[in-house]
Amino acid sequence: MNAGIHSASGLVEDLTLDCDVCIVGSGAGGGTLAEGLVQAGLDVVMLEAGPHKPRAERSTKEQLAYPDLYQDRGARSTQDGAITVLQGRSTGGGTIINWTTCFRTPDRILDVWSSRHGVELGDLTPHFDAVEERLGIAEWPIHNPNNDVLKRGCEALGWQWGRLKRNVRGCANSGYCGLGCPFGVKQDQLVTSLQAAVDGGMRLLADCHADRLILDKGQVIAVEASAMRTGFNRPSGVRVVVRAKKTVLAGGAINSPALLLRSGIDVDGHVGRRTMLHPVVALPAIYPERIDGWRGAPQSIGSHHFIERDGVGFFLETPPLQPMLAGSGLFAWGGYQAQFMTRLPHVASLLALCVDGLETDGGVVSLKRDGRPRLDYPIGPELVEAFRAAHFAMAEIHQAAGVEQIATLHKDPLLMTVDDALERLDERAYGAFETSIFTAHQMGGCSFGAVVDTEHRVHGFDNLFVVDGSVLPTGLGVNPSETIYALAHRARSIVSA
Amino acid sequence: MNRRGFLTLSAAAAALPVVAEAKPGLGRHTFSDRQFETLSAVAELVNPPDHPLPGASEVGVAHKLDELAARFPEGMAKELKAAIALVQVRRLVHKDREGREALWTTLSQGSATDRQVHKSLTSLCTATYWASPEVWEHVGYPGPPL
Repeated sequence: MNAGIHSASGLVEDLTLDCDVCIVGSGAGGGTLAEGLVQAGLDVVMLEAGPHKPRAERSTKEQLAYPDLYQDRGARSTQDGAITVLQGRSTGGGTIINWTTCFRTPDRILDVWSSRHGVELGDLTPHFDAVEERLGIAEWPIHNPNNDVLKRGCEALGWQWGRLKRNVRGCANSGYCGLGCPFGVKQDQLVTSLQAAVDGGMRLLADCHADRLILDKGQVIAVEASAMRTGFNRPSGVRVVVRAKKTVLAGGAINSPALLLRSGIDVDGHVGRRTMLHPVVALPAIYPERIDGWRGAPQSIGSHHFIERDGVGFFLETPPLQPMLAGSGLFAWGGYQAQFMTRLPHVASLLALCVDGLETDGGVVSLKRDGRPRLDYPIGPELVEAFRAAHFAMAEIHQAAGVEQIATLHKDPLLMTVDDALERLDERAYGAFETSIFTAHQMGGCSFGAVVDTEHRVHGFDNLFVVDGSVLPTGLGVNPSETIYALAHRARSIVSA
Repeated sequence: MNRRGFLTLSAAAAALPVVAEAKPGLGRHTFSDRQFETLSAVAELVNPPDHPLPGASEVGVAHKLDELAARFPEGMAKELKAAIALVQVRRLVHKDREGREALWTTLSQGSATDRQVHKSLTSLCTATYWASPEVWEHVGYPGPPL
């Protein structure tokens, strides 16, 4: 097999490949790492469970993009179904579908990692500098009306807000980052590091699901994988084996711990534990003016006003509002959906992302009987309190921004006027199955300290590494992509040594 | 939901193998005729026809889900069939509209398994409906740029 991107779905017979390093997963961690390893002269094979969908083969129609580009064809959730899990699954991984917001890891969080988890990573500044240069990460100056609501509301209330950084070059401000950038200007891994790695000799096999690691004498000697049928999340029956001197898991939280568990590696029961989600609640509202929330950079304004509150902190951002994503937030059924959605052009929505892993322990990844990952995530009283407080904060912002009506996402929604919102919010509860809860930030499960050392090496192994969001010991309180890019950049010299 | 709650759903699904494992109906990819009938009824509850927008059947929500589920991981498709089976045994399709609405409300307030079934089917039907180009013009959405 030559250097390049290939689909395993085209294989008609079993395949064995040899290489220096096998990387499982092609997202923020795997892509950034691969570019550096290839530059160091290593022979790299990368496996990606999802399909290869370059820009020319993608559609930004939601009914096509979600099945093509998201885990479980866009239908992933926690085991109990209470939390919808938005997670990428194609070449480029989560970087293809994230909303481009980038932050450096807050010092406050690095201090927690050091003081509570004994994790010292050294100076990350050169790595942040490098990935910001590589991916065009810079402050974005244009705000769509939905982001302007957040800015206006915070300004009126005297609350902290700031402009966000994004990884784009020449962004057309289309608003479709979550469906795969239609103009190829988002600096996702497919147009940056993966392309460079492939140009440098890497072999990338898409539609190839890593089933388990093959161990011998306490070390990993190969990755055993299944070729997948094109357009299906089902195996074709063809097997792929990659024999590598070193193996790196970069499938992201949920998936990397699941692969370790399928391989019989649980590191004293720590694998899969402390999986963080930044659980999200949202509060949409109807404005007199047109918002057209499907248009413009989805996130350009954020507020960390409540990040250090007593209890579980949260930060505020905005979502894009294409009809499927907007409609999916509705827990109510029947005529209410039509009533709400016919006002869609006038809807603005706010998100509150709750920081788990500080006051809470997050969730647990284990395996279902058929080997698929199972994510149990309890919504405890600390999170319920944060969800409630976040609703009050978001309602205040909407009020201050000049809203007409505020609509909660409860199964029995509250449709409130600008005047009565703060009085009525306590008419509903805020726990699981009461209101819609989401996650777009999956972290942990192979945490620094518990599962891997600070050089990303799995405890007890010399040649097995994890380089993705699963190594984070806590939620970050910011969007995690830049942290993962920077850690993967740091890991280049470690894995190639 | 706690672990016990989910095991209840798994056990219920296992107790209904004929329903959960039924072969796809003629022209379908995933669901048997009875499963399809139940899913269609659920979709109509979530997006009924007597509003300014087209109903779920007009948009073909159940057909689209039948096609989508054929591309799910096999285990996930089985879980979806099990959820439908748990609605089937409550005889949803044999009730009038009021009875169907009452049952759907009851499920949303019931056991952990009931709430899981309610949430998963409501979410899938909702997402499939609003992803349909047939409803875009009704909500003022011009469609994607490319």
